[in-house]
Amino acid sequence: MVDCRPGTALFASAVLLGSIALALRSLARVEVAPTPDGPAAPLLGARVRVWYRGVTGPAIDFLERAGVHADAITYAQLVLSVWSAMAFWTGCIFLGGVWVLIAGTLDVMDGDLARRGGSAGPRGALIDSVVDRWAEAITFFGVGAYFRHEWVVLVVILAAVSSQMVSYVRARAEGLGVDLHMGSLQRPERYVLLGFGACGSGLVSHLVCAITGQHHDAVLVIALVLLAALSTWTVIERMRHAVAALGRSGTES
Amino acid sequence: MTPASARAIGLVVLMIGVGLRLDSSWQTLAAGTLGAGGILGLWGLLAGAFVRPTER
Repeated sequence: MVDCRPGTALFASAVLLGSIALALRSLARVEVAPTPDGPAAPLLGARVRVWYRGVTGPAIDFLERAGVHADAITYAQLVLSVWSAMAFWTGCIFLGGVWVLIAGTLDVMDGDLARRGGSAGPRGALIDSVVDRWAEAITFFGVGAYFRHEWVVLVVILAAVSSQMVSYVRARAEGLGVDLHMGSLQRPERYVLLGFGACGSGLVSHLVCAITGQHHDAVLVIALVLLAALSTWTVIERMRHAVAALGRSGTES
Repeated sequence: MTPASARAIGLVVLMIGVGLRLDSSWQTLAAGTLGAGGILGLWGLLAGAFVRPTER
């Protein structure tokens, strides 16, 4: 385990809080059309999604001008997920969180780049979906490897399985003709929860370490418990919605 | 590069530097990354502050 670095952690906390304040200020200026979201809406609402697309817009413009294919961004996301897994495995919690957040950003960008470049289609959608599942599984594998001697590994396994199930239920339902875009904890929310949970855990660990002399992963554990619980809830939400829709269509036919 | 892009890229580079500083033994690389991210982010902040809202 590396030394305690409370000064760096304090500096990074101040920078992050300042950036969040700036982001909230520009978020307040974003205008979105009101939608009847209801309780099944994602935790990150339409406003955040529109704002983040605006933030990544210049990067997508640059990639489009440079002639970068959307598939390259998809594979870069996979590489970053492997890096994040390795970081988690070796105990680099803050760094793991940073890679998760960057990989999540690339996940948003590849679809936008494909749509803008006119290369969006079933082939790209399939590659994107499969790589996303791999990326998520690899990241959880790294987190699980870090907690391999603790009870938390069970939470990580539940989070990993539920995260895959969230996507599987949607894919299966859509195969049966039911559109499933609802769900509390969709992929961007999972990236945010794990990424910020890990970064927060790394910072708190170094701050607390200055007092107790030991590193703690309490914030990451809380984030993982939330991730596991909310992912499982999202699977149930989607199942209920899909079963109800299929029941109605069955009755109609 | 626009001030907004410089701020975003600066923040990402800075956070990678913080991660290296906190979690790794590559302290020279961490210092370099922190410095590069800090300069880029600061330039983005300062340049953005002197741009009229309509030109941002």
